[in-house]
Amino acid sequence: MAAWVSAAGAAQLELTHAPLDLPGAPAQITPVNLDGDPILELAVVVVYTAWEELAVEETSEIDDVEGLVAMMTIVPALLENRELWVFDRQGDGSWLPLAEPLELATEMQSIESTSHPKIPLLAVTDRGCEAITWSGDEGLTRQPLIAATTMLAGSGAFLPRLSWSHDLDGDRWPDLLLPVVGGWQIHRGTADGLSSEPAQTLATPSFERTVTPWRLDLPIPEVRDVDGDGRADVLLRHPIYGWRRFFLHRNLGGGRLSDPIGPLGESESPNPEDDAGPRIVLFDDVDGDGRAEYVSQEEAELEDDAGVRKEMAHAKRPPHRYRLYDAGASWRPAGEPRREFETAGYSFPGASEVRLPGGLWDLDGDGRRDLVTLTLDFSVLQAARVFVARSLKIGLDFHVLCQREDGSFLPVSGLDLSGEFRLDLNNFRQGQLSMFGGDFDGDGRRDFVQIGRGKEVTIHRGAPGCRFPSTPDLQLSLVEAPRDLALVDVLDLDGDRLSDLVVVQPKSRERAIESAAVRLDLYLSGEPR
Amino acid sequence: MRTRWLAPLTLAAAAAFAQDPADTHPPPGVRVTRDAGATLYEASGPGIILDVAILDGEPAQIFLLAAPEGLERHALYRVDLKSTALVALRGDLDPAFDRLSAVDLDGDGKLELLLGRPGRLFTAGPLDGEPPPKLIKLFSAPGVDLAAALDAGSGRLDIPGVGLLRRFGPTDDGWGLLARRALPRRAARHQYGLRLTTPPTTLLTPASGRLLVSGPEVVGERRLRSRLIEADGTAQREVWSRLPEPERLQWSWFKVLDGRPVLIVTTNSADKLGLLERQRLRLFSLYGDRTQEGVGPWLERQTTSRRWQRVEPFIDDIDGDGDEDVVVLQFDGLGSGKIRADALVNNGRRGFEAAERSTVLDRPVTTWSFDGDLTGDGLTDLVVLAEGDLEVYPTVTAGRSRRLVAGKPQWTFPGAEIPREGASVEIGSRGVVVTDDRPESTGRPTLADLDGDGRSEILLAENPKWGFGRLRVVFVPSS
Repeated sequence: MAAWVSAAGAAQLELTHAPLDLPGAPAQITPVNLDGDPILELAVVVVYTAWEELAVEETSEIDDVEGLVAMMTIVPALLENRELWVFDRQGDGSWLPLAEPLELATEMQSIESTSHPKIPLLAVTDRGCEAITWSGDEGLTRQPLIAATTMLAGSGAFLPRLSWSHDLDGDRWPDLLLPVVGGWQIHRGTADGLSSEPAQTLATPSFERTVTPWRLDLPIPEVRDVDGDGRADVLLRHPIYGWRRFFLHRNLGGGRLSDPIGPLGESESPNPEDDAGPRIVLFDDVDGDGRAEYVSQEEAELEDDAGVRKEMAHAKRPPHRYRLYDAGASWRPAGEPRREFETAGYSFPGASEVRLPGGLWDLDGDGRRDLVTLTLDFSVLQAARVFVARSLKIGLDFHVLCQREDGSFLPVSGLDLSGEFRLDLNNFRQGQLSMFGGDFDGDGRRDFVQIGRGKEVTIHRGAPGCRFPSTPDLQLSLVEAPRDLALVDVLDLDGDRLSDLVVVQPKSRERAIESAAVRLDLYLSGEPR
Repeated sequence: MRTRWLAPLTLAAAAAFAQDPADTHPPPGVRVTRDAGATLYEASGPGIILDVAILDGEPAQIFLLAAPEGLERHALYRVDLKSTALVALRGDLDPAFDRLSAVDLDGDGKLELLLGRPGRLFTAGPLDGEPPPKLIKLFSAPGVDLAAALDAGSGRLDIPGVGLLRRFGPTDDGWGLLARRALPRRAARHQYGLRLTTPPTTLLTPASGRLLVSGPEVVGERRLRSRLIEADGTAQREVWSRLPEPERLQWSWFKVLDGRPVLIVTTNSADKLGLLERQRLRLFSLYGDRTQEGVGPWLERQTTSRRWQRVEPFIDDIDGDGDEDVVVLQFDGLGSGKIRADALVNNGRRGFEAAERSTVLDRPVTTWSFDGDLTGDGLTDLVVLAEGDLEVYPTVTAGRSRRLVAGKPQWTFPGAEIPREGASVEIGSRGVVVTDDRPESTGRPTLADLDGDGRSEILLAENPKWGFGRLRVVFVPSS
């Protein structure tokens, strides 16, 4: 039963709570149109282990019986289950199962919804790809589309949010980049579904040798227009070095892709860490002109004998210089940067792999990307006490540089999005999550969300000029505080182009070794239906 | 880029301001010193030492693969102890060559020298330096890495890789692929892409014969899955182990104990993350469990090593009673290098005595070995590297003391100091990452009988951060 959540002080932001009970943790949640009506359903892939019975055939000798006797033994076994649950939204705002859950084998690697009416859900499996459809008579069913040994076959992994379907040839039917051993097969979308034969195969680039024989890193193709011709190109970013090494397959028209272009170095090239050129952190359209630019980020290094005080100041507000380069001849960065500026704070992840919610995002919906940086605040005393108190409280402040029409970046003054998070070294939990997480009111601008103060969630609506009010526009009280911020996500659950909030709440387990059942707390934006 | 905002969380904060010592490279060559009956050879390379291989014989031959400073080619050397010379065999190797190994390729019981580069393996000969050895391609195959090669016997090699175990050997058309078997593979997102992994594959020789073991794979918070592959590669079976509590795997080893394969792991709590928490040690038998719930450990102990510190178990009959015992080397303290050597004594009734034999060495230990008898008394001895010195601690005869090894070294073989930099702790959105900044390229002491006298010599390869690589070879005096 859906429950109305009060939204004190907010006139235009509303979130409706709806709980869903699941037998295990959701591996993926995605809106889908399976029944053809205007209201989307919610597809949830659930993964859990539970005790079941396993039938084992064996042979043994029995006294007075000649030869071996075949026996069937029933063994209780702890087995992994994967199921696809689909929920249909009711008029009162609650969600009910559309059909019996569909059992998914461990060969199922990824699922995504598509705009093709005959392929509402596209699944990539060890043996190719399938469509998952629904009918009132048969419920949820799997229908094989293409047979091929796929890249991740045998891994048993289900990887959420992998997107293999894109419209490469501009005919509005989604095409498929099927990950197979050695590369990606391009299967054209048709009115009937997908062509069974690949139109082209993109080879997996060999960036360099694997570090150990026990692992292999592969890129995930990114599909977007980088040359402004309106056609989707394919980018293969280095799985470790990111944009410092990548390959571009330009779309030549009709969905035909060019041979790979490696603007910043070909395969087997030296380690990008040794590059003398700019440290590229992004290759994408930053200024909104449809063509991708390079963005470099350089941290001003401190001299070795700077002293602890300077080191601390630097750690809190590291100065960075950003440069934007046009893509020039051979797609390499042009010699001179088009734009150059400095600011303090963390934005793109560095070598530390620490991920902070900074970077270049279009905050105000004008098509141009704006820069978000974070600065920290802590004292030497706090740092020194960390091993006594076993916890550390760090102040966190967000800074925004809004990109203007002329391409310059202007610091937004008067922002107060500061907060603090506490690190408990005895039981590691990040105390608070703040992010420019989504658009909750549908105005095309990102809103600022703060989660992690118990049940309290606040949303600050984005305003023109990348401004965010200090006072939240919505103060929401969750039904139950999230046990872990990793169990909270912001995404569009019902396909209405408004961001929603989802909190996974594990229930207590009957047996320690089994998976916990969960309650999914959905907080949906928009008017209750 | 240094992660400066994490600097205050550095345990050994002084390390951030440490100065590298002056760059004083000894000239390439072999120096010999003799002290109290011991002979110490120190082979200094012309750059980083990439790999070392020993070919058996009387005397055995030692080879170095190195990346000479300032050159774009790699080089192969032979360490000639008799003439105390570093003999350059090839100085024109492609820089892709990065592996060296010794394997019996023709099944005659003698080892051959192998050189590897990604996807390709070569043999080399002749090896006396005149004329320069030729490299003969043995075979090439995508993903082949000599570092993972396992001797399959009868002149064949098993080379595991991601998701696949390939057996190579002689064919009608030279060397080639003989068979391929699936290995477990896992996929996950990593950084900007996808990472396919296969757990390391280990070769064991239990009483039942040759056995390949792959794993363990973590399944949830309580279970570990290992895969046992019979010698001929045809039969595989899964074995499940169950941790006593929700635990996070830190280190793992497959060993043979009393002729049977066992799995030894160290873990930390999965529920709570205590930064200074000590690792727990668990030992599992490896036998089938159709329920897949997993079989619990038959040995559980708390170690003294913190979550980022090294722990290493060794199987050895330390009391000569015919039952193999478990010796655990572990750090004790937050970073002084003090170590503790514990012997968990097998009572022969599928159990271990409650009280262990133990010795604490208050030395700044960098690395260790407990692999062979150096003193000639039939008992395995402990070798440690502390402040640049190789120290040998003899095992105490059972019954004389509760100590495992002597409290003072019987021999100390000095060498240049390698400073330690401590451990740094980074805390980010992915959790806590603890890095041990001990020079990673310091090998572990290796024992090998180079002169065929029945007693082992000590070999240690090092690549100091500020200098060129060196290989130390110690002929210990007879007791």
